[in-house]
Amino acid sequence: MIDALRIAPVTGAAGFSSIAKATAPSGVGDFAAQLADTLRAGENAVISGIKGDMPLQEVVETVMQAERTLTTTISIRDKVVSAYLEMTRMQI
Amino acid sequence: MDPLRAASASAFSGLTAQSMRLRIVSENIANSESTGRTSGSDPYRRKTVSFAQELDAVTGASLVSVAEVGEDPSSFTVVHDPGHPAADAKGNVKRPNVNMIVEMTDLRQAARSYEANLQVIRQGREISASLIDMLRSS
Repeated sequence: MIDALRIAPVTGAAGFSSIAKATAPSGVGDFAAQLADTLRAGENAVISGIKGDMPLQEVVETVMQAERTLTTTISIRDKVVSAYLEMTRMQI
Repeated sequence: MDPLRAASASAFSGLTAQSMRLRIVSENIANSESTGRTSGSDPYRRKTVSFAQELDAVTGASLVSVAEVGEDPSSFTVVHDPGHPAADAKGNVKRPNVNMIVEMTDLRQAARSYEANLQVIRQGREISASLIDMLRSS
């Protein structure tokens, strides 16, 4: 779990994957890169949706996928951070 | 692969397939009066759409896809209208084999199926949201 705490702060989709790759262990790094890819796919889908290149169903599907990945990641991060804070509050 | 994601993938493929069906119904209704241009030529022939199962390589879910947009081989109705540009030597004009009642039923069916798929997506999102909430509230 301590290893998982080494996730670098999010600075934006592009910066995130590179920072995570440099500092975090490969498992987390791969996950972060995948997350960035999913979010980027969501952004691209929105743009093609506005242009009208992509069917609306596909746009909604991709955006929903990105949203779900993001909320899951944030929830897990919050859980990990709260566990860490719990440890810092421990009486010595 | 996450079953909820697979469920949403199949539901979304259902939405796309039903949209295609809606498009075909719309083309049939729009062309329900389209006759030929020259004497004795065939009018618009009603289009049909059929669906087939398709395996999604990413999620392993069974998706639905449009298998074929075919044509309805049933015969045209013939009306006597000598003044029409498409009238043959006897003054008969072939009218499209589009039946409004059939098209409206198909339209209704497509809409219902679309709603059913939407409901699946809604339910899946609700389930996964409440699952993630388990992490938050404790």
